[in-house]
Amino acid sequence: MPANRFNGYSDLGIGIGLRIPHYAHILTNQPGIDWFEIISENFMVGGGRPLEILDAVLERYPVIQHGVSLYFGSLDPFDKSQLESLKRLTLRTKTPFVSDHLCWGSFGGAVSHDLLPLPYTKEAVNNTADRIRYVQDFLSLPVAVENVSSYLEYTDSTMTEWQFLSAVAEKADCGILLDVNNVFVSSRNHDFDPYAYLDNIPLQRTAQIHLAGHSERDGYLLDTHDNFVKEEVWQLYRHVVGIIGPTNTLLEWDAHIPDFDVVHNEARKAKAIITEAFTTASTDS
Amino acid sequence: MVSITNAEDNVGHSLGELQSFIWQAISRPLADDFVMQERWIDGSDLSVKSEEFVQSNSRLTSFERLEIYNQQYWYRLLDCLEDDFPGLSAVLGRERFEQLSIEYLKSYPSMSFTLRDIGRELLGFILSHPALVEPHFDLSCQMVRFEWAQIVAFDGPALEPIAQDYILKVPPHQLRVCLQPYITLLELEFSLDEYSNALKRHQREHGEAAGERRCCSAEVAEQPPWPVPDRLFLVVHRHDNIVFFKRLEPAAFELLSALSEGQPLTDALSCAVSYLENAGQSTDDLTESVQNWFKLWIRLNWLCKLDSADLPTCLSATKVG
Repeated sequence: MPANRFNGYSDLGIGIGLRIPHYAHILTNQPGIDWFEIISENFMVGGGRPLEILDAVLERYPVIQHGVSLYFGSLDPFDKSQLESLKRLTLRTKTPFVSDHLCWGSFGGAVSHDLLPLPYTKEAVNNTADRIRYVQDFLSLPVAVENVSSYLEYTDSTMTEWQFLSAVAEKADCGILLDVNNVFVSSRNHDFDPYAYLDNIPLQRTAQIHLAGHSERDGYLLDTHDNFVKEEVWQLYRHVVGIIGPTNTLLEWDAHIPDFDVVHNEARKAKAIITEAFTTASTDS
Repeated sequence: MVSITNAEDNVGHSLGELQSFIWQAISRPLADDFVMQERWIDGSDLSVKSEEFVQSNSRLTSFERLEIYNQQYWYRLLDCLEDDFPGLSAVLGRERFEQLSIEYLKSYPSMSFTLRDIGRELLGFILSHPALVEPHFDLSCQMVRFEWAQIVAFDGPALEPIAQDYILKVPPHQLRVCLQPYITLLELEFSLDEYSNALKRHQREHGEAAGERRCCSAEVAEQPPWPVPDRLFLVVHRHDNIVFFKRLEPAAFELLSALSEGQPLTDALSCAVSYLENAGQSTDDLTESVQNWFKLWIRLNWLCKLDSADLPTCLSATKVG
């Protein structure tokens, strides 16, 4: 499902997260990257260097916006000035869609700046889907929700995570930003089969795929984005693109960020897998 | 449509009840050894309370799973404050800075979608809780102003700057300008600009070791020399999108301050003259000085037309002493 209504019919290939340590390399060397993903909040500012860098990148590359602060699962009303700022940024970047997380993170007006897992309940489905629809209408752009890595489960949940994700996506009629690393991390933390997850969500809604590295902690996996993608995660990625075909894919590396070429080489692995899957599909047909 | 079995939600907690508990649990300060407090707000065992909301698994208890988020909340926000206020952290020492930060965040949790604003209320908090920074109250307040000014200078909005010919065209008694919103004028009693540069050099040289937090309580290496008492008039601004600090002569600072408050040029010049006279200094060279100051300020794009539409933003460029 390379281009579909959930990703604004974009078929961009393999992208990398735009991060400060790589600014100079990108602007000087203009590497052959298909597209960059930005964290929207880092550029929802009045002016200065962030917007200068963004404009320079936009001259050369497509940019897709990914957010961390909409908290679709929260009960707080949206901050209108935040949404207006986000909309202004979408007009600047011409992003074909925006994404944020299937989580909550604020309460009573206070903000955690964390991606807190939701209870998988009907009430949470309704609240989350309503808020996604509101944002889609406000921005006049498709919204994709990303499954998060989680480290706890609630006693109140009445369905699996993949049932919850599916129900939200269908009720909101939105896209899914499928983070296969997060699927793997949560599957290990909560003892479920990641393939059962992938085989039971509406993959036709996939707007984009995220890949990243994680770390082992005492008794759980932590989504650290500070290392190479693990082999088990590549296997999941291979499984997904084998089903849905070449899809916009992003390689995330957000901590202990290495030289740009290291990140770029890791992203190239995704391109090789996509090429392999596409070739196989062509041969089979 | 996905079929959701057993999803009537007629048992258990409402979403609001659940989020209220989780929020309180994760935002409560950690215990001294950076673990979650064992007792809940009402004095009951938090392990028991946690089990009401959070499932355990074969590797982690409900308490331990909740603790991951409690730790993440505090580590993230404390790291962010330390990134934004390295000078204050150096002045107070890491341990006291962390204590100040915890008390601050208890009173002022983040209310913004962006972490950029996390320190917005820190000065006000310190002013109302001086004991947390004594005996360095004055220095701490000035450091916070100085470091917040850099955040504003980094990504604050910019207005269209005025050109030289605009100054020449408008009669002085009608000429009103304002400063770029990203500019802050600071009247300081310590050489914080030099201290900041020394601190950056120090952090570069001690890099990784100095960046490790919570691994050791002792200061990693000797700190740069203490800020020197020195009355100075500083402009925190940006040029070519790089943040700079520029020292001004006192009379220039008075003039710029008056202009930033929306006073017409003639009145602003009177402020500068009064300053010089009160200081017992000559005003003979003031005309030439003013011309040079304006040339520089225009070259640096500091001055903007005072348009009524821009007034609130424009006058938010602050002078703080």
